[in-house]
Amino acid sequence: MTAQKPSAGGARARKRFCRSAKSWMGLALVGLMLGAALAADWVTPYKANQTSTAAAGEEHLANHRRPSRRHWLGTDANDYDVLTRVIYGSRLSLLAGGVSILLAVSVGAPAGIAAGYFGGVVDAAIMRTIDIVLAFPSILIAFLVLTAFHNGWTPVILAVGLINIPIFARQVRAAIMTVRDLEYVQAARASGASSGYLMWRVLAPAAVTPVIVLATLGLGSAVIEVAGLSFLGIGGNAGDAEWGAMLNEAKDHLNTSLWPAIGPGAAISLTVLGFNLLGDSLRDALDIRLDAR
Amino acid sequence: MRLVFCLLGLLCLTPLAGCGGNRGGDASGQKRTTLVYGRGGDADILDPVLTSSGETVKVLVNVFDTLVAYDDETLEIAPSLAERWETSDDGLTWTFHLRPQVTFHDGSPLNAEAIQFNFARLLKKGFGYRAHYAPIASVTVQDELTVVFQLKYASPVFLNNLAMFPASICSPQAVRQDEAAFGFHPVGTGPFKFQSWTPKQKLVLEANTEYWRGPPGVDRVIFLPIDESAIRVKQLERGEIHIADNLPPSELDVLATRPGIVLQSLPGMNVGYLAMQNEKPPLNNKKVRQAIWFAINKRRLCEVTYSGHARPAFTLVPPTVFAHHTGLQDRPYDIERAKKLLAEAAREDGFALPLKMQLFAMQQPRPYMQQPRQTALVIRDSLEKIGIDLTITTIDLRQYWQRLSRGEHELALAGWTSDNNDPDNFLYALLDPDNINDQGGNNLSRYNNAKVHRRLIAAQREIDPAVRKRLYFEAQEIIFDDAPVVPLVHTDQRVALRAEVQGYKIHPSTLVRLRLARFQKKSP
Repeated sequence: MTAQKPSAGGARARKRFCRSAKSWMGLALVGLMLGAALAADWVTPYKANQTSTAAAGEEHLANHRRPSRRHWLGTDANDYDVLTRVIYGSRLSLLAGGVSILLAVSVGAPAGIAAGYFGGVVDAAIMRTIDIVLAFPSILIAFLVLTAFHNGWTPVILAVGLINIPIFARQVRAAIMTVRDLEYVQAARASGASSGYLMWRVLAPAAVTPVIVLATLGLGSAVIEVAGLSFLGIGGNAGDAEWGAMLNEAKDHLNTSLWPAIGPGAAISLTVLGFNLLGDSLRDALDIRLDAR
Repeated sequence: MRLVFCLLGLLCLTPLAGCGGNRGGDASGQKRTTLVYGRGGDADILDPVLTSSGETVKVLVNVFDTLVAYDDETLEIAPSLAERWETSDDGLTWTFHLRPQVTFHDGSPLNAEAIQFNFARLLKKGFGYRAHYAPIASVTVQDELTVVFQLKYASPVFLNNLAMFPASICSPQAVRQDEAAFGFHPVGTGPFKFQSWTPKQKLVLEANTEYWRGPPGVDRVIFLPIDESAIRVKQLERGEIHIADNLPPSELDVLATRPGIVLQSLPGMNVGYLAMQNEKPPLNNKKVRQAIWFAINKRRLCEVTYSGHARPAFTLVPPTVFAHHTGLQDRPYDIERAKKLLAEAAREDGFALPLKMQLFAMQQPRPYMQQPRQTALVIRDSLEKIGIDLTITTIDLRQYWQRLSRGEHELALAGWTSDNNDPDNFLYALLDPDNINDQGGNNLSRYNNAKVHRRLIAAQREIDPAVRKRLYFEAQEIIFDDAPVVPLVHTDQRVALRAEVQGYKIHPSTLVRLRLARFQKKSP
């Protein structure tokens, strides 16, 4: 029954992955950000919302302190330590990005499997709905979702999840279509397997690799999308340590001080670079072709 | 060779510095001069009786005149459209003698009938400011240039209120022609004529060369709404705008060091405060409100958030205004006392700590609240220490005041800039039960204390300054104890301008009067 599972050759893929410098760089960057997020409470010199003054008990109050030994990335308009907030910011950014991609996969993948397996009317209904969603600029959809809710991070996650659903649905459908008529599937069908069994046990494994690659790449863009929405000041909670919101606060003071913008800006770039490198090398290693997104 | 480079440099710079053609009026060229004013927001409707927006007032004071007006540099009331005036001994009858041969921009003459028309309209349609003119019983025309105001009761602020923008004198002819369109094409007697307005893009005023005080110093004024303060800064540096207001305090400090940029500063007649919805538990308990007061670190606010360009406030009346209570001692920043008060209140009212509350903050900066989000963060950090967890919600200004007047908030950032330099304009407007209503009422705390109300009403009708002062002192003492709001800061009023702009001085009333602004003549 499991004669020709497409995920065969795992050892070869692993070897290809390990040999590429790209994958190690990607892993290192993603690892760095994940590590920062997990260890924020121990590695940060200050608390996220603690001013430099409160930490040191200084008499002289100030803002926009220059980068120094005490504040590697300086302090912002509120005299918060920028490095501390960048590190704490990794939590919200990665969490929001991760959860929204999880959401997109858990809705998009089943939709894609169903469309690919049933074909006909079901396929048309699902794919046309997705076409409609794709017809709108994703930022517009995110705005719609966000105006329907009060502030907070949940709507941001929902919005970013929603705009990523079509990507997964399409890709999964394509993967299912390529294996739908292969012998091992026909064999399963001939032996009287139910639709559920066919979809989840026989067809779904064919979509696992593209989903893994897409999700890795998608995490990068989700991080940008989350930061973008909070940069625009919609969604999120004012004052939370989050990269997009930090950039938004920094932009009013760009003429005075650059450092409050450099920290979160670099963090976003490096995270996205990390996910993209990782996703790219996974794709090369697993040797799959993705449709243009 | 070096000379050539210098010349080249000059050539390149000229079009930048001369944006809009502010090349002075050389004898030969007769270039028209244009002053560009960059600001954070746009006007709403250019009708003096229908607006309460500060951005609109900046335009109105240049297009319209009032019967009396503030002196060019001080807060003294000086003659304007009225050359002189007399008061009866009981203070109930005011006779104004109008300046002869003043015409509106549409050519119609200014006469007593026009004054009567304007006050009738103000009393009927006046939007947020009608209450300021409530003492007026009747306005009668005595002759072509004499108009008599009869008051219901003597009012110490009557003359000041006549200098306020809602009492701007509009052309009756233009209003009668099409009242709905007037707000988009205002016609007054002021130093500038309205020319055009593309909302959110630009608003253009033309010099009124026949102005009764003499023509203004520039030929044209353009008001540009530029949302981002960082962009206003850059445009000012490049000379694309000549005056920029509402900039973040820290930006101004850096700008001050740049060549070609001048900073002007005056203590503002304003207050930024934290409004607490007194009707909502647990804020209906005085101890909770006092605890919040004790917990807010105003020194951090002034020195970090406002970069040292604000002073801590303990009453809503600014120090520059009459009857500011100097005898009050502010509650110090004291976390322990705040915790104790909050714990007592929790026992009395049976609520559990930590409390969860909403704090509303405006999205756009205001003169009295130049850093709304940062201010909100200071308050959040402060209250976290005593067990009140705040969620900050930022709201666009267009909905902000409306939502606050409906009492939707628990805590909210608010503030006020005085229009008439009188404590009544702070205490009555912001804390009197008369001003609690869902349609733009300014008592955002919904503070209702009969003792305060009695004193504020009495003070409105009291002519003797000593008695008035006592009434306001007593009111401020009761308010201080009740703590319906936490006064936060009185901010400095600061504006950055290009050095070539001369003659313009920011006025203590915060009115933006551009009549005297002119460009420095370039030496040949």
